[in-house]
Amino acid sequence: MRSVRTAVAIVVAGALAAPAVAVFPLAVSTSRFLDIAGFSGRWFASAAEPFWLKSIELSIVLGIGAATAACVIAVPAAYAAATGGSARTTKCLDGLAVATLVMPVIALAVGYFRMFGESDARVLFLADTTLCFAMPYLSLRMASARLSDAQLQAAELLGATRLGAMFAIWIPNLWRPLALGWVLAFLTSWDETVLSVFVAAPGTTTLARAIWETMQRERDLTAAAINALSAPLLSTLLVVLLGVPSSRGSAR
Amino acid sequence: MEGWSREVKSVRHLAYTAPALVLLAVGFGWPLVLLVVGLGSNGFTFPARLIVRVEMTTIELAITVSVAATALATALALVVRNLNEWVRRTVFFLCLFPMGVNIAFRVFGVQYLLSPEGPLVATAEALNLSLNPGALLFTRTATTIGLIHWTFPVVVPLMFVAATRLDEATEHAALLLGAPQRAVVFRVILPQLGPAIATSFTLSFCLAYGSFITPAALGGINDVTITRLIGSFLADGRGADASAAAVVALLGPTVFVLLFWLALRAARMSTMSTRHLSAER
Repeated sequence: MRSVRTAVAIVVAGALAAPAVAVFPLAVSTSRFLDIAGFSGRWFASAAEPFWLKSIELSIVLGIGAATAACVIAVPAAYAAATGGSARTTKCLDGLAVATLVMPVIALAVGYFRMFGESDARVLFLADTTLCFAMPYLSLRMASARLSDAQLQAAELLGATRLGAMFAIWIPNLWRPLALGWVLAFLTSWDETVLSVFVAAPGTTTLARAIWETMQRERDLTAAAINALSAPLLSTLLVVLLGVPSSRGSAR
Repeated sequence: MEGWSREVKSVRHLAYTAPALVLLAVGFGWPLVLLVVGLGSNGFTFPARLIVRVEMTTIELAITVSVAATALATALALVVRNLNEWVRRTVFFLCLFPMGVNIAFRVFGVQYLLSPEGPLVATAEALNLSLNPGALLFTRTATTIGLIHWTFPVVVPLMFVAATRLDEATEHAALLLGAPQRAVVFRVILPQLGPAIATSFTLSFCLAYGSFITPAALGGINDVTITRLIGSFLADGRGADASAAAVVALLGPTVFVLLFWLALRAARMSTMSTRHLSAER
């Protein structure tokens, strides 16, 4: 019975992951189309061309910048909410953070287009930071609800300032949810296609936009090679930080 | 003195939250306000029945996807919860692996799997099956498959965590009292998973509803979603039409999340009143 359940679970999870796993055979295919034929490293060589390198560089800079900015802004906000901040402000922030997750990004793209017209990387940075904010904020909000505030109270009694207690106690205790929030925020920015397609000027090409436009027009499988290199790293990082939920408790 | 310290405290809290409030006001609130405010001054040119049809298609698609993704995630979480550590790790990694691949490429992964040169057609031919997966490309089914593939990794951690928190004692008690397995699933396990299922359903609905890349790459001409409509308006330079359609697009998730919140509140109120009654007794 257990072996049947194991097989069913692996088959279902594998089938749902198949479109993503397809990057590996497609990355080494000799064909220019979505077809596996022969074995070649040409798409890996093509990934080193200036067009792709520039888009990868922009995506990495935007991803790291937006994820870090989102964390820098989210940490004090989540800390204030966890340590008895105004209930109204907390509710407002919680609602807005959830709203950024559930609202269609294309509606936001139309708004950005009305605000800025065709824009450069600075506007993408603002948009990405806004969309990334919810990841560290909600991750910290959920984790801090399970954190005992005895240490914070003790630190305060011993004369620590609020800011000092945040850096010395709160953040070190919550480094894992914070790191998870950073990785999720980076992935949000790394994967963000709609804003870069509709809002960014032609010269501002992120990797997601380059993949989308190239795959539609040219049938170039360089995108498969890039994803074959980046996906194992990003997915492993995500799973390690998220932790496999265990029956002995929550996510470790 | 107390009033002064409370004032200082609230100023400090404001300093902590102000950057977040400013970011969300400028980066999220203001663009959406501009959309709504600009609606009156710029007339749109598409017929209302078009937007109704497109909105209905989008909602139908989003409901199908969210039901399927939630059901799959729930079933998988229940299947793996008592299995070996390495099996759970493998399954969890497989479920989350797609998140590392750009969505702009994953939709072409779905295209590859369904294409005439893809593995599904080859398998169907090898097994002499009358199925033709190639015929699914650029149809609503292909969009549904693509969206399930997209939303599943997002909802699966929610269901895995909820499944690990199930009260096994109640389950064992029900089995010891002779309840059949099906009754245990429907009357003991699923009610405990209720909040996680509702959250997963709402989240996958909103993601599927607002998705642009997947319907644009996999959908056909008869199943245009609201996001595809906005995208085509933007590509044609019809800014006013895009704004009007974007305002309509905002309504779907807003109404849905509001309903979810009301349902959650009603459930809490009912739990509280039940507890209150039992305390009185």
